[in-house]
This record gives sequence, structure tokens and C-alpha cells, in this order.
Amino acid sequence: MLLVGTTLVFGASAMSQSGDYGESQWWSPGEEHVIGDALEFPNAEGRLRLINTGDPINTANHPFFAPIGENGRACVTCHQPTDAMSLSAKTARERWDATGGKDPLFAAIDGSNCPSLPQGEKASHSLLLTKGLFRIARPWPPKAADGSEIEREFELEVVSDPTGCNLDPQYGLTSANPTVSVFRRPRPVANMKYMLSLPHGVTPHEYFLYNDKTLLPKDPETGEFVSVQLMSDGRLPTLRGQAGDAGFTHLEMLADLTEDELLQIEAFERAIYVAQGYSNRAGELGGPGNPPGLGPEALRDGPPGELGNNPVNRVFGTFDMWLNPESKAGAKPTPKQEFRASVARGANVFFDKRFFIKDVGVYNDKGLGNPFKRSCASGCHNTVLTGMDLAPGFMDLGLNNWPWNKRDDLPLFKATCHDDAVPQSYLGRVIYTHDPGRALVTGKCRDIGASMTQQMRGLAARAPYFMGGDSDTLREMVDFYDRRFNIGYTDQEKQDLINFMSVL
Amino acid sequence: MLPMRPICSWLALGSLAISAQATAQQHLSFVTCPVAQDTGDRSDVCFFVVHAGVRYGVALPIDWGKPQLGHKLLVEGVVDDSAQECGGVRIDGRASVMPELSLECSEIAPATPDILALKLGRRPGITDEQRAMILADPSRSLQIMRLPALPVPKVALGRTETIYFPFERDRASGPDAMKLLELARLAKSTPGTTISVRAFRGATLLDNGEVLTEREDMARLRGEKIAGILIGLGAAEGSIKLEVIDDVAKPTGKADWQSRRAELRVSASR
Repeated sequence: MLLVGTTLVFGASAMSQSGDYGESQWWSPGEEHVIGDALEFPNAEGRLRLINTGDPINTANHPFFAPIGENGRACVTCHQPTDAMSLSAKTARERWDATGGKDPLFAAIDGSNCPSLPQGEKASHSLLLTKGLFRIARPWPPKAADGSEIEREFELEVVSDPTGCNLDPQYGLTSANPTVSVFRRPRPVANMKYMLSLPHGVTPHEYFLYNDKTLLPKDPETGEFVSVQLMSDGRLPTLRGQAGDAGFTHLEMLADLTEDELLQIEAFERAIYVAQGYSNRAGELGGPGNPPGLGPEALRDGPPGELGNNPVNRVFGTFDMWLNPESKAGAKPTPKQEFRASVARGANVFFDKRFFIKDVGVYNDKGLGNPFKRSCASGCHNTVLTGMDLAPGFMDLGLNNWPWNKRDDLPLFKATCHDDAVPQSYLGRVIYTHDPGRALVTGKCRDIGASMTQQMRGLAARAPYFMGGDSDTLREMVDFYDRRFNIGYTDQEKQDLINFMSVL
Repeated sequence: MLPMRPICSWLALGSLAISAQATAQQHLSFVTCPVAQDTGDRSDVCFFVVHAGVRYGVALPIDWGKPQLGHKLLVEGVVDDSAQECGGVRIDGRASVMPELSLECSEIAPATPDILALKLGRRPGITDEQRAMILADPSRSLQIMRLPALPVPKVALGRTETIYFPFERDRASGPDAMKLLELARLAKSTPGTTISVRAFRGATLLDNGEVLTEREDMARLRGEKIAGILIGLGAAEGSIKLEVIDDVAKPTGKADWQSRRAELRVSASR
């Protein structure tokens, strides 16, 4: 552990670009750490920086870090500081190797492909080890928070079940408690003010979902409207609701979190900001002379809930100071200058390069037209400093549904929508899907496969990417978009985009 | 009624020229595939239709819902010879995306020099003043530039507000959602009010004599959705009087889109 100013650097004793960062950066439940103002954690691209805007925290007895469930897990098990408060597949593999698969991370309930599989075998945890995926078990038909059944507009049939869980007599669709098992990545628990703020300046969308102009959900405790950016399917819109649900479903708690525990967890989650803080190739990312949107301090100080798809804000602010490096006459730019220029070009590709956005369910059909022509930034990734889609809405990019994405490792369902249902706009009434997404909450045919965009910070620390862990690298992510929307990025543009995302 | 007169298609531009004629003030009602028109590297697409040999563009209210490839488009409106829309003769009225898939609707027209000359879909770029500001202080690039706010609609006790819908849709536009917000605020701030919601389903007489009628539950879906929104915005549940009108008015082929509507009125207690 290194001490840099007031910033603790974990696991940096053997830092290299090979992916071997020396001593373990894993935080086990119940382990004692002190989170002061800032911590840094090395990764392949440099160092992730975590800053704490609250009081210093001793993790030893803090409910986010304590093994308060029956399976020995804590919240931190799946939201590791080193992985930008998410969990990378690399970390999961390292943990398997270090413990022989005995870590609570691999709990049968959701850290394995199905609880009925032999838990000592690595193959039973393949989705977590290869893609960082946890099993999310949802009731079928969908149920509301009060347990009442939601009228469904479609039927589900299991076409293939490589994990065995959807056909399992105890855990599957035909079990006594019919359940759909889908597999999703944990989202980063950081930069929360951006996830929780209602959008500003885009009235009436502080009250209405963009998609169909239904109302946003309300906080059941305060009665106030809330954003739906927190979870990929929007099923729990508040930190307290999410924590309480995770206590039962992921930690296997037998009793509710106490009020004091909920308060501590929420206060911690609201106080934490993460972003890449140092780049091996660009150097220090925050501070004067650098792009003002980089580093977690920018997130701490930035305005949440704002639309950044304009030529001034450009979502992450200007990168122009890196675009044309000054050098002595005739001197070749240094590698650092060249990398910084690439990052700045990537920011421009992100903001300026338009392409046809076509056949995105619950998106092109929400009034925008099919196709419409935007860039990454002016289309779906427009929230200042975080890059989610600000006006709250879900979309099916094609990651969950055929024909855009086909996975052999995930279950495949055939969804057949009822004749009187509004069909999914571009796939109709018969849809093959790996994860019905939002439709498992609403029961709506048109929502099949839809999910909420994610924040774009701390990417270098938390591969794989997308809700289903589809892309192992940033290159694979860029290639997916290039194929999906026939963008035609040049190799240089792809590399510039990758470099840009690596410093976020 | 203004006299009807033939006009040449708006476009006399090179390859876009179409010799057929459209008639000013003519009512049109037809279903066809929309075509997406690319307008250049730095601008959005627009949509046009070709009907009886004439290229038309439909002027739509904000957030009404733009055409979609993969679906046919119901076009209802009046020919307007005073302006062009997407390189075609403008139709003032409404266009509705038909819900079912029509995969044959798939054409994207490339941006030709004629289209580029029309400068469609351009968004304002950064100004020299803004550029200088950011150069002097890069942190200014994170000072928020908000879009101009939509005007807040004025609503009043006893006045009927009407919300129109695309064919077989219950989605209100953004400006209409703001109307709902204001009506709910008015009801909340005035003790003892009732809110009357009358929801309709519609039918359209097409130029070819065919009649398109909305599904039977459309009025109920619209009415219940609006009532739910008003309650969610704070109106008392008991104050809402919902009337669902399933009977369909006989379509005339003129402004039939107005049959797809909901009428809302906040009234003070007597």
C-alpha cells in the first residue's frame, strides 16, 4: 500500500500494464479499512480514484462492509472499490483462484449459474467467472412491490437453457414459485447523485418517462417522484429499496436491514465518487491544465441531472487543450502528448460523429423517428459527466434480443405477445430474447429486452461491459456499436474512442 | 374556405423535381411507407412520403411522434403551398405510425446536393464567444447550457382542453403532458373541483374510401391513462369523472385525426 499525499494507493507494489497489480486489492466482508478523503486502486490503464465526501469510514462494522447476511457476503462483495464499486470478471477469477471457490462471492443463490448445480465445480460458476454475471431471479408472471400479480402481455417459453436454471424443477419457470433466471452485471455504486437526480431543464420529464409519457415512479416513503436510473430494469428506484432488496436476494438475510443500517448504507453510497484518476499514458487526469470533466473531483463538484448534448458542454466538457500538443519547432510529440491527443480526438468522435440509430426498441419509437441520426453523445449518452440518457427511458439496443446479439452461454426465451398487446416496435410479437429486461417488471410486450443506459465512469476498472457482460474489452464494445449501427468507424477512430473511455 | 388551386410540387431542385401536382387546401388521408431523408453528415434525418406522384412532408407538433421505418404511416392533413417540409409539399395535419410491422418500409434516401442546399435539420454550433470563453477557462465548458423551456400552457377553470393522439396510441406529447401538469395543479389549488375526462376513439376515412377504425378499447386506454396521471400528479381520485366514449363518429375524410382525442375540464364546485 502506498501513501500519496492524503490518497492511499492499494496494491500498487508491483503495478504493471500486464494486468498483474501485485498484492490483492480485494476487500473481504468484515475486513477493516479506513476510507478517508481518497483512495486509489491500480488497474491496467492507471489508477482508479475514489473520493469520499462524507466523514471518514471505518469499514469494520459498517453495514455496507459487514457480513450481515446468512451467506457471509456484504454489499462490498459485489461492489468492490478497486472495480469502481462494481465487480470485474477478472476480480471474480482471482477470487476463485485465491479461495478455491470458497469465497461467499460464489454463493449458490446467485454466484452460481443455478443453486441446484454442484457448487464446488468451476463450471457451475462459469457466468460469474467469465462475464462477471450474477443470477437475477424474477417472479413470473411479474409481481408488483406489494406482491400482486401484474397482467402480462406475453408468454415465455424456454428455448435453450445452458445454465439449467430456467427448467430446474425447484428454481425454474415450472417450479412451485415460477421464476425467470436472467444474468446481469452489478452496476457501480458510486456517483449516485447523478443516478438519483431528476432531470433538469427537460420539462416535463421530471415527472414523465420519455418513452410513453407515463409517470415516473415515486419514492414509497416520501411520495416524491424519483429517477429510474439506478437499476438496469428500474424495478427499485431508491437506494433504500435497492439495499433492502439486495439484503434478501443477494446476502440471504433473514430479517430486514435496520433503520440505522439503511441510513449508514445510503449515506455511504451518496458520499462516494469514482473515476479514473491517473492514466499510465496520459498522466494525472484531474487538476489545472487537464480536461475539466476528468477525475472524481469533477463528479463531486458537477451538476447532476443536466443535459450535455450541446456544443459547449459536450457531455464531458472540453478536451481541446489536449488536441494539438505544443512542442518545440520540429520536435516530435512525446508519447504522452500523442496519447492525450488521441483521447481528445476520441471525445470528438464521441460527440460529433453521427450515425443512423435504427430499430432500437422503446427508443426510436418514443417520438424520435426511425431512424434518427445522432452521435453517441447527442443520442443515448447525454447526461453531463456521466453519460446516461437523461430523459428517463428504457431501450432495447439489441444486446438482449435476437437478431442483434446471440449468446450461447445465456438462456434463450421465446416471448410470444398476446394479439391485443402493442407489439415491440421492430421485432413484432414473437421475440427471441436472452433477457426480457424491463418487461419482467412491466409485463409489457413492447418493453421486451429494454434496459436503462449506464454511467460511463470508471470503465477501465470494471470490464466486462453492458448489462449482460457482452464485451470483454472496450474494443469489443466499440466493435459492437460499429456493427450494430453500421457506423464505419476507422481503426484510428476506434482507438481514439477506446483511449477516451479509458480515462473516464 | 380558401379556394383550391393546383400548385407545382415545391421542389424544382434538380433530381428532386416531381412533375405531378398537389392541390392547395386539399384534404388528404392515406397510408403509405415513409422514406427517411438523410440531410448530411452533421444533421438529422427528415421524413417524406410520395403519394400520387407528389412528394410530401408532414409538419408535426413537437414530440408528436416522428415516422418510423418498419411501419406504415397514416397521413391526414391539408396541403399547404406556403412552405416546404423535408423537400416536399407541406401537409399541415398529423401523421401516425401504424402499430404493426411493415418491413417493406425501409428506404433511406441519401443526401443529394439538392437536399444539402435546403439545410434541413441543422443544429446551432458553438459561437465564437463561447469558444473564446472555454479557451480562456476550460471549466466553463461544464457550465450548463439549458435548452429554452417549453412554454407553460395556460389552463383555466371551466375551459375545455383537448389532447389529440396518434392512431391507436395513448401517448401524449410533451406539451400535452405539460397541460396535464397544469390541470392537476389547478385542481389541487382549487378546493372542491371536479375534473371531467372524456376519452374518445376515432376513425379515419381514407382517400381510397377505406375506413380505419381504432381498436375497441382505445378510448378506455386513453381515459384511464390520463386519469391515472392526474391522480399521480396530485388530483384527488374522487374528483375525476371519467367518461369513455366508445362510439365512433362517422369519419368525413377532413381532419379525422381530431376524432382521436381526450377532452379535459376542471370545474369549480357549484
